[in-house]
Amino acid sequence: MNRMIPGVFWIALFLAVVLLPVTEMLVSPVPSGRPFWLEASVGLGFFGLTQIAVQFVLIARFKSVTAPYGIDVILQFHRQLAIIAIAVLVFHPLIIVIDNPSRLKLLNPLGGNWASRCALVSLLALLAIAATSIYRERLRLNYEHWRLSHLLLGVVAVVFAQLHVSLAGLYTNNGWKQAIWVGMAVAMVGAVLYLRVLKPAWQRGNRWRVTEVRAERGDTWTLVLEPVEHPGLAFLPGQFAWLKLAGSPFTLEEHPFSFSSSAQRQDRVEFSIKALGDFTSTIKDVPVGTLASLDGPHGAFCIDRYPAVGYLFIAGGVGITPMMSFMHTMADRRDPRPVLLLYADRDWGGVAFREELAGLQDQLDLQVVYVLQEPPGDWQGEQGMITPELLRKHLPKELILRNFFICGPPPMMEAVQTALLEMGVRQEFIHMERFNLA
Amino acid sequence: MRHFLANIATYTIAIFLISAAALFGWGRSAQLVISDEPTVLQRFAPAPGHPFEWTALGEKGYRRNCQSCHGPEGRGWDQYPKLDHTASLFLAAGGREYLIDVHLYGLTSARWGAPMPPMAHLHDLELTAVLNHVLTHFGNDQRLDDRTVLYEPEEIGPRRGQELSPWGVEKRRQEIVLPGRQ
Ligand SMILES: Cc1cc2nc3c(=O)[nH]c(=O)nc-3n(C[C@H](O)[C@H](O)[C@H](O)COP(=O)(O)OP(=O)(O)OC[C@H]3O[C@@H](n4cnc5c(N)ncnc54)[C@H](O)[C@@H]3O)c2cc1C
Ligand code: HEC
Repeated sequence: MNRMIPGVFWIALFLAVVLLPVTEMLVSPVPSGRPFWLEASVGLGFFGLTQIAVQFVLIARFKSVTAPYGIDVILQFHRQLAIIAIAVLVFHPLIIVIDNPSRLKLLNPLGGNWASRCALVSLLALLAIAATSIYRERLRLNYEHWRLSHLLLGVVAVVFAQLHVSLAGLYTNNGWKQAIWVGMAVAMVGAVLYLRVLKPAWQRGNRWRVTEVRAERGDTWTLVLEPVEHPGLAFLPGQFAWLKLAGSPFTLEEHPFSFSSSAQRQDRVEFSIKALGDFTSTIKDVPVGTLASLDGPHGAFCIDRYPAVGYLFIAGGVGITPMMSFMHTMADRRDPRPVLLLYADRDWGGVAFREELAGLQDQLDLQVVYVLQEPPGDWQGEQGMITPELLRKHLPKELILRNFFICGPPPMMEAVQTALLEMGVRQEFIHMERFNLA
Repeated sequence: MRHFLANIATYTIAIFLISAAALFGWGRSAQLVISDEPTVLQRFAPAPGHPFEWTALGEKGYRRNCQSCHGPEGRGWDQYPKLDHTASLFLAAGGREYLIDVHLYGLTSARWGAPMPPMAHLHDLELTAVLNHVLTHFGNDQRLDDRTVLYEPEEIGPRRGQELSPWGVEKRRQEIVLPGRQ
């Protein structure tokens, strides 16, 4: 419940921030009110703009904002609110033109005026953002290129929208109103400086050194990092951090990875990384001694957040990494609570950490069920997918008080969640981590 | 669970903002700003022994409704015309009525890359005051003499409710402006 208060507080503050600049414009001097649709569309335009500007604050990873929800939820908010804002901003000119079709000429960049031209630039930037974000994978945009263009287009959209407001000037018709609007826009877009300049500058004094690169089964490598002249990082089991390797901390290339080591050790953290793409395939060749920066800890996928009498961990492939952190932490804490791990993977040879898990079974009340898609000929265990039958067979009878943590490929997570809900597990006991924030 | 609650929050926020925009539109179109405008305007209305006091109202009305396009000194900018030829339109045959129509129904033409928006939401009193303000400023006063009769509020009402579009107003303009003149 103590997360409820900040959770509601930030949403209320969000609404206040979106509403205030509009109410401020109703203080004298105000233009005479125009017909309903025209004014409502102006209202939509103003709300849309502040909502776009607020996005820069949402994605700046301020801990106090993200902590109550988990950063994955914040990014979900970001996507949904931005899409609503863009839709609203498309309706703004649409209604104005329908209200009086002679305004159509404002959409011609050669006609119109500087106010309408700026609005056009802003709207086109927003539509480009929406298209490249929704269809990023289909357009085969490289993640780093997408991210950079996303940031630049976002700044362009807000700057030109603000110019539109200032130049149209109907509502920002005196000095202090103009100042409030420009000030708000600058402050919010400035949040991006915090994320991309101030925080990296601070990270320069908090660097890490790669002390070991350990090969695991299944094309996975564990990167061991130790702090360079600082005490390290306090995190909760299951959280993650953005990792920047080598280069300067000001680079845009950073990747999120879950800690796979025990949260009881702040001065030595591990990430286990499966070679799946450009960056992850280079992990095996990272020389010992390489410097790294971490932005973290982030995330709400952690057992400490959800105390329970026992846990069920359901992992698919590399989704095992946060579970390794759970179990190592529990072992270090001599936690007696029972744990059942369902671990699905392709083949027995590629099951990462299976020796380590055998070791953990000596320290914990841990039962491990492997589910193999392509089992060897003499396999006695489970095979295929994690199905409702398989769950029913292995889950303890007193399901009610356990908490479920699921991490793996999205189709698996969906299927398991549906099955659990059908078995009567309450939604609030099911926790999922998606290895994809985009 | 967190994602589920977040979805509810998103929908709530969306509905809230759209309602707020509608409320904004309603409040503004009903002239519900600070005080009820028609009531305030009535204080300027002409009455027996007390002529129409349009000077302050006209200046304020111009600042609030016209200045963003036509500029504080009526000099125009970019796609918006200067207002120094308004008196000649006013003096042309049919020009007196035409100018009222420009404000009630808007105007669009090939001369400018933006339209003049309809201003029918202005109260008769405010529109009259603004028209008189334009006619007595920006150089228009040079073309008027002592015999000129400025607008009175009761001239506006009868011109409301015509089926006129901004293009229709442009047609009327062609009829009153002599060829070869602006
Ligand atoms: C919270 C979280 C925890 C994760 N934990 C682990 C882990 O413990 N072990 C592990 O192996 N993987 C983990 N991942 C996945 C890992 O971040 C991606 O596999 C990696 O970023 C892919 O980069 P690439 O260049 O190798 O792959 P590419 O083939 O270039 O990209 C594949 C996809 O990965 C995503 N991606 C790429 N670059 C980034 C980036 N900079 N930031 C965010 N997403 C990106 C995009 O959706 C992209 O389409 C985690 C992801 C998240 C979100
Ligand atoms: C949104 C911008 C805008 C606003 C606000 C605006 N106008 Fe205009 N106005 C225009 C444009 C554009 C034209 C030119 C239209 C054309 O000729 O195609 C114009 C034309 C005019 C004309 C000349 C008509 C003609 O026949 O040449 C007058 C007079 C005028 N406006 C007065 C006003 C007054 C008075 C106000 C305030 C009540 C006002 N305008 C508010 C944009 C605006």
